[in-house]
Amino acid sequence: MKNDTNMSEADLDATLVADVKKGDVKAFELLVERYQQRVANVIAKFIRDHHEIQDVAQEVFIKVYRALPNFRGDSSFYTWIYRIAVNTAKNHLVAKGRRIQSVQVEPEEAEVFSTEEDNHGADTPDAVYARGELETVLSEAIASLPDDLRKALVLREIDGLSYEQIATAMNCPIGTVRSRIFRARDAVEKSIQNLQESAKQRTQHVN
Amino acid sequence: MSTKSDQHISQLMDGELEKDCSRFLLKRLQSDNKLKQKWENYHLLRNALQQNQAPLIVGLSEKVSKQLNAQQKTATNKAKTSVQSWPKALLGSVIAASVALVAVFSLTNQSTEGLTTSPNHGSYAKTSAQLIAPPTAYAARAEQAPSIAGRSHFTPEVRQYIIQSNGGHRIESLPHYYSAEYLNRLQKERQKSPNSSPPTPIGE
Repeated sequence: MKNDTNMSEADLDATLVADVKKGDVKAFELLVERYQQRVANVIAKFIRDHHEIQDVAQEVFIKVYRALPNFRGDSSFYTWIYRIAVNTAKNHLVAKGRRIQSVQVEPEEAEVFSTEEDNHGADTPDAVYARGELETVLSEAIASLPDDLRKALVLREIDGLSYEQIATAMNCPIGTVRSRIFRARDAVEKSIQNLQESAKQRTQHVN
Repeated sequence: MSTKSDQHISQLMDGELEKDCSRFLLKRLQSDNKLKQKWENYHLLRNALQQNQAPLIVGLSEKVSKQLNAQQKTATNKAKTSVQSWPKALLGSVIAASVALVAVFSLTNQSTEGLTTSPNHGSYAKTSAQLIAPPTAYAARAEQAPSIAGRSHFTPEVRQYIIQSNGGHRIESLPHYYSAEYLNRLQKERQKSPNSSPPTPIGE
């Protein structure tokens, strides 16, 4: 059952969109962080090169920012940016003189996690190393989580279940779900923080 | 050490935080860099789990923000440049308007000269009284039509023909020129012999 006292994800998007319309660029950064991976996943259905995917993703969000005053909220924010992402990816291929593959991607499909092997294209060695290092740290941190924390996190982030649905699935109170998801995120976040700190120190040593 | 705010960020991104608390936290997120870093890292974890064929996207919001700022600066500079160049634009407009004004005046004078001035006649009477007894003018003018203007050498018969073919108005009210000399001769002839035919106009 939906809790009306909470700010749903749709309400959160609507609030951030309203703030951006008032000229708040920081609010737009929060929106970009919410949707950057899903947008990249959609673009990856059309474009294989990792550099190009990131460039096109950046272009998508610039277009989204410019078109935001015209967004009336008739559809969900994600559905709207999904259309912009598909069109931008197709236009990118046309501009590059490449053939558009007849791929059918639905917004729901783009959100589904896939375990397909990542197709690494051309990328700078530094970027590949940094991303590879980050991915390793992330997967190790997730693997080292206690089972109940990892299960709650996966049900939330991959299966997209609400806290109430997770509580039912795990047969525990909703407060426990809230706590487990937070503890899981917090543990992984600490690993990310350590990596960021060591990367910062390495940069200082080089300079 | 984990704080309550961190847990609230975790709930906020899942749509599981109370509305009032969410609004307050969103305001803080836009000004508190430490909280913002938590938001970014929690989403990085989400991105890693939801990553599909695409590479793991890191730091895109910063790039987008920089590009938007750069574009806004460029737009502001362009606006400033256009504001600074307004005196030049105004000067150009003034010159163009002056040239147009001079052209209009010169054309108007040319056309007016063609209608009112004749090389044979210096000045003309402009009222009916002057028409009857022009004081100093060489010729009297009364509501002349452009077609007859400057044609003082036309005989009264020709004038009558033109007038009739233009609507058949009576001669007294019709537009035509008389040279002062011709009028004087006409008056003298009429005084001498009222029933005689009019004298030949000048230029015939």
